[in-house]
Amino acid sequence: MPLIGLPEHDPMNAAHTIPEWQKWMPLAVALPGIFFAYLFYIWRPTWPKATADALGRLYRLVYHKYYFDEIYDRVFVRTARTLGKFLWCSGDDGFIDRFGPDGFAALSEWVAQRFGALETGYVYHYAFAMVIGVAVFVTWFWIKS
Amino acid sequence: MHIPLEIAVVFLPLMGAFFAGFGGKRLGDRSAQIITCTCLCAAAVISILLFQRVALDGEVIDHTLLHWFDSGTLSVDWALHIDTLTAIMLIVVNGVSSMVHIYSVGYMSHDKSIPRFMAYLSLFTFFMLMLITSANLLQMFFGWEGVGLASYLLINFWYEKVSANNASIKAFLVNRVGDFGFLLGIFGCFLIFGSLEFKVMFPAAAGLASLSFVFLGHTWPALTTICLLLFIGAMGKSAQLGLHTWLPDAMEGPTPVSALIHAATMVTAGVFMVARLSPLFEYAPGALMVVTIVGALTCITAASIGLTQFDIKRVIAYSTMSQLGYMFFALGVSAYSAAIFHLMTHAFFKALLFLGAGSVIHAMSGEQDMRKMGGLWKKIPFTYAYMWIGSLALAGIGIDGIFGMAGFYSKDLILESAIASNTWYGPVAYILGLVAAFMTAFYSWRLILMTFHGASKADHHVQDHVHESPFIMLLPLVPLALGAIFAGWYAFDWFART
Repeated sequence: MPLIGLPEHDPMNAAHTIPEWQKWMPLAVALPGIFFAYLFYIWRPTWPKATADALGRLYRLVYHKYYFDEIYDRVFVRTARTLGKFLWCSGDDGFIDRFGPDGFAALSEWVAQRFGALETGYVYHYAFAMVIGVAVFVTWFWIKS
Repeated sequence: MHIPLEIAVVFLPLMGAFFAGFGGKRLGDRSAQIITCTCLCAAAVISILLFQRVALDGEVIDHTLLHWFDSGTLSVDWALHIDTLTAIMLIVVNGVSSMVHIYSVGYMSHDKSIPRFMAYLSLFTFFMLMLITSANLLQMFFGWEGVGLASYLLINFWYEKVSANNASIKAFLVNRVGDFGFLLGIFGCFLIFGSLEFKVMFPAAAGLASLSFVFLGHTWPALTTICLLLFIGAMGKSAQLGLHTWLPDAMEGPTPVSALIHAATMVTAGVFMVARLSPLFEYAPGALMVVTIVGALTCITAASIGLTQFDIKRVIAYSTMSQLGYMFFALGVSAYSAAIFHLMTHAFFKALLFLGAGSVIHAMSGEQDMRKMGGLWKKIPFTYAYMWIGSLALAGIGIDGIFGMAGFYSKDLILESAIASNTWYGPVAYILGLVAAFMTAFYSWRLILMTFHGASKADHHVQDHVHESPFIMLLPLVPLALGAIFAGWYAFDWFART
C-alpha cells in the first residue's frame, strides 16, 4: 500500500527485524487477560468486589473516568457560565440596556410627560403661547436687522 | 445515460437520504427503508468495484464536479479524488454503513419516526464519503462538519430525552474545539502553500520543512505548528485524550448509530485525515512525536476505564477510544499503512461488537447494565457467538504463521512498528500498547462473562421476554463476522508490504 513515510522513517520495514519474543508479546499479554477475566468472573466471583475495595482510591479514580468530566465542568463550563451571567446581568442589562435602549426610552418618556403637561385644552393658553411666539419672532428679526 | 461509478458511490446515499427524509408520510416507513438500504448496498458493491480498479489495478480517479469559488488567489473545486487510501475507506464506510442500515430495519422497527432515522443514517454516510473523497482541505472540512452535524442529529434522535439532548450538545461543542484547531491549520496551509489542493501541497512540503516564523520572540517551525493544529482537529473527531469526553456520552443515540458513527466510521475521520496528510506530517517530526504520545496515552487511559464500567455500550465505547489510540501512535511512528489496516479491521469487529451489544440490549428489553444481565448465552446463542468472534478479533488472538483473527494481524503490526521505529517514543508506545492489550482482553471477556454467563440477575419479567433478535438483525452481522475473522489474514501482506 503506497502510504510510506520518508526512507528514514520506515518502521514497518524495520518491524521484520525485531527479536522473535517481541513479536509474541501481544499474544502473550492477551491470553492472561482472558484467563484473569475467567478467574475473576467465573471461578472467583467475589474477587472483583474485593479488588475494587482493596484498591480504594485508585479504583474510584478509574471508575470515575479520571474525573475528566468533573474537571472540565469546573474549569470550563462553570467559568463560562459565571462569565456569561456577569456579562448578561451586569454588562448587558446593567450597562448597555440601562444607558442605551432603556435610557433613551426613559428619556423620551420623561420629555413627553413634560410636554404633555403643557397641553391643558384651554383656548387662552394656546392663544397666549402664540402671542409669545409672535413676540419672540419680532424681537429676533428686530435684533437681526 | 452513463454515470461514472465514483459519482454514483458518493451520491447514492445522498439520494436515499433525500427521498427518505423529504418523502415523509406519503412515502411510508417501508419504502424509506427499502430506498435507503438499496442505495447503500449499491454503493457498497460499487466500492468493491472501485477498490478493484484503484487499489489493485493502480488507477487514480480524479473527477472535478464543479468549480466551487474563487477568492483572491484561493480557488476551490468540488472534486472526487479516489486513490488507494480512499478506496479502502470507501469499502469500510459503505460496507459497514450498508450493514447498519439493514440492521436498523429490525432494531428500529418499533420506533415512530423510521424515515427520519434512515435519512439521517444515509446523510451521515454521504458526508463521510465527501470527507474521504476530497481532493482539497476545504471540501474535507465540509465533510468533516457534515459528519459532525449528522452525529448531532443522530445522538439526539430520541429528542424527548434530556440526556440525549445534553449528549448531542456536548458532542457538538467538544468537536467545535477540535474544529477550531483544524480551521487554523487550514489557514496556515493556505498561508505557506498558497493552495489547499493536495496535489499542490504535498510536493511542496519537503521544500518548506525548514520554514519557521517568529512569535513572542521565539522561533517556531511552521510546518510542525500547522500539523499540530490539524492534529487538534483529529483529536476532537477521533476522541483522543483531552477531547474524548463526548464519545462515551454519545451512546445516548440508538445502538446502530453507535456502531456506525462512534465505532466504525466517523471517529476514524481523524485517523484518515492524518494518514491523508502524511506527506506534511513526515516533515514535522515534533508533530509526529505529539501524535504518538497522545495516541499511546489515550490507548492506555481508555483501556483502564473500560475495565471498570458496567454499561455494556460504555465498555465498548472506551474500547473504541483505546483502539483509536493504537491507530494514532501507529501514525506517529510513520506506520501509516498499519494504522489504516487497523482502522479497517477495527471497523469490522467493532461494528460487530456494537451490533451484538444492540442485540443483547434488544433481548433485555432495553437494559444496558451488565450487572443485571447474566446467563444469556443459551437464550441468544447467535448473539453470543458473534460477541465471541468480535472479542477474539479485538483481543488479537491467533497463532503466528498459521491463522489469526483480524485484530491479531493489525495490532501486532502496529506494536511491532512502534518498537522497531528509531525514535525514543516508539518503544514507550509499545510498552503502553502491550499493557492496553492485556486490559483489552480482560475487559472483553469481562463483558462476555458478565453478560452471558453466571446466574441471571434480571427480574423475571425481563427474563421471560429474552429472545433472539429477528433474522433481519442477525443477517447483517454475518459479513461483519466474516470480516472480523478473515480480514486480517487476507489483507496482511498487502498492508505490510512496503
